[in-house]
Amino acid sequence: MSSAVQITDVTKAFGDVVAVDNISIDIKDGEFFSLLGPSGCGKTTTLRLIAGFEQPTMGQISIMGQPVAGVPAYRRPVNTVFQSYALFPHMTVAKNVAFGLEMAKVPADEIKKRVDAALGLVEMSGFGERRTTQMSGGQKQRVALARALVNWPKVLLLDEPLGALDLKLRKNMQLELKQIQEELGITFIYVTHDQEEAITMSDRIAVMSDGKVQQIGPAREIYEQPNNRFVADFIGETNFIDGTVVDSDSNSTVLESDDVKLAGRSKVKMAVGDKATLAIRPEKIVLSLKTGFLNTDSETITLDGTIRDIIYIGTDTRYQVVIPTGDKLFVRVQNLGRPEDIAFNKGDEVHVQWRINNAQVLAE
Amino acid sequence: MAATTITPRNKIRKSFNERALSWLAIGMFIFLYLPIIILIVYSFNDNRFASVWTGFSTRWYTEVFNDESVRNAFSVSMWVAFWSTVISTILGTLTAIAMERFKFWGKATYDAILYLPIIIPDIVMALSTLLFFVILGISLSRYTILIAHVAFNIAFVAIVVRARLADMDASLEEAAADLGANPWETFRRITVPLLLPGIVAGALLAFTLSLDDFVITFFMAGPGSTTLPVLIFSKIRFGASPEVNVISTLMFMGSTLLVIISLMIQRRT
Repeated sequence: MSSAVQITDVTKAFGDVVAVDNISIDIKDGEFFSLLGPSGCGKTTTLRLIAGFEQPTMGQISIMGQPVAGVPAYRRPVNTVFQSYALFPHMTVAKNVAFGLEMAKVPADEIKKRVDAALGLVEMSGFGERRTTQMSGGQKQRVALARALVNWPKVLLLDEPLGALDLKLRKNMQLELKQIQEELGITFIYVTHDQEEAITMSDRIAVMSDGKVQQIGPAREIYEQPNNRFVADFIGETNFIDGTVVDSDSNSTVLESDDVKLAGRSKVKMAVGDKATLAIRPEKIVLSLKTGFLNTDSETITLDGTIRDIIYIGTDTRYQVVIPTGDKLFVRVQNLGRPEDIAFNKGDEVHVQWRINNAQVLAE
Repeated sequence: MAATTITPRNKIRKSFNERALSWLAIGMFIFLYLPIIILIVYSFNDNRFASVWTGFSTRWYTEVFNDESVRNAFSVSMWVAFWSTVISTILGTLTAIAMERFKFWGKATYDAILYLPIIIPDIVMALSTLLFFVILGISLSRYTILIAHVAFNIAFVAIVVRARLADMDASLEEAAADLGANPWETFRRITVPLLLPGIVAGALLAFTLSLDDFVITFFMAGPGSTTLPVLIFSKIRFGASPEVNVISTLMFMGSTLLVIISLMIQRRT
């Protein structure tokens, strides 16, 4: 697969502030790619660098194989859906959508056809003569999308486009956006701070913080095998147990924490004696009563625990369990409602178990 | 939100406050507009002394329309007001855009200096501009009036347009560029239409300021380049003729009309 956008060693500084710090990302043609991170992580700046609203301080960006250094925004084969929608308030919906085609000197009859098609695609047919100022957030969102897509861009840039919508509408638009992307086969580069949104929609995600790319990969890989503590913490919920490396090879590491030995997968060989952290997701931990049947094998870690707190949240119950290291772990147990399911009580002594493969040892 | 219950006591105090406020407002309006109303009434006075009422007549209107010096002053006034508005609106708008959208060396200083003409006393402006022309050896004419008017009008236009620009979402211009509009197309199709209410308001302000400026114009006026305010002043020096009332009334009507037009334009957008 060829690249749609190639970002190579790009740094962007505003005065003394480094917004984007030496990042390299290769986005494939036809991919739904998300830039995910907390506010101020440099994701929007990265998008603006691709759009041409900012020029990199160092490094190079190529779009469809063409270096775009010095190419102004209006000559780049990309279109943007802005966070604020940025619809022109002095034009009708149809005029807004037609703007890009008029700039490209497309013949009038073709403009009309393409505008109608684009409005149809976002289910806004019949809204052409409306003023954009009298529309709801969801409608503005659709018009903004049509205005970008009507130009048949090679790459569509979306800057938190669903940020201003309410939860229900956002969920619907997520599915619709994904459908449109698959239907048109255009590369989408999607900026969001919402990890769930990124996971739902993306083929691949780049997790960013402090202007750096922390990890790039498919959602599953980022969730199951985070590179570092930041990624593990930012995507979903994670328990962290700090310890010292006692044994390590290139794909698994054993930690010691308060005389308790814990093992997990690791991506690199770590030096014995180094500080490291074991990360384990709340839903990967299994609880059972001490009186009950205990299933043990060499692939499973078993610890003693005491139930400290119980929070019922509908689909699951969240238990807070204290283990011999002194750490408090969160455990999620799905409320399946089977008769044999045991409800634990506060103060119960339990076995805490997880599979070594499900835990990840992260270097400090 | 806490529910507010209106007790009778509250009601009484409220209505007293309201009544006091409305009397105050009426008093203010009388104070502001009574002199103008008297001026308008006396412009229809038959007597040749401006301050003694004898009867209704429009004879002074006829006199004014037939007065060569008034007609000249009117044409100079309109010429200066028109051209100073055109020039200062263009320069002021471009200045506002430069100050709001671009970064350049010495911007902070320029920003401070730009609004000086609004702050410094007219008489200082007038004297310094006069000195400037004298040193350069430029003889006074309607062109020197025009230059002086442009000088102070730019600041007013720039302030009005800049306020509008500050309210405008900068991503609209980025969106236009993103859709393939080059800087000129973006300026023409997005920036100017969205700024238009501000530009029109600035232009009307410039026009009225130019029309009724006296101090600066008085210093700049050369032979044969008298504007209406300067003419009125020179006329009252030879005794207050009702002609002065008529000219003032007409100027008042003109300015009011401009304000109404500007309000209508702003309401429509």
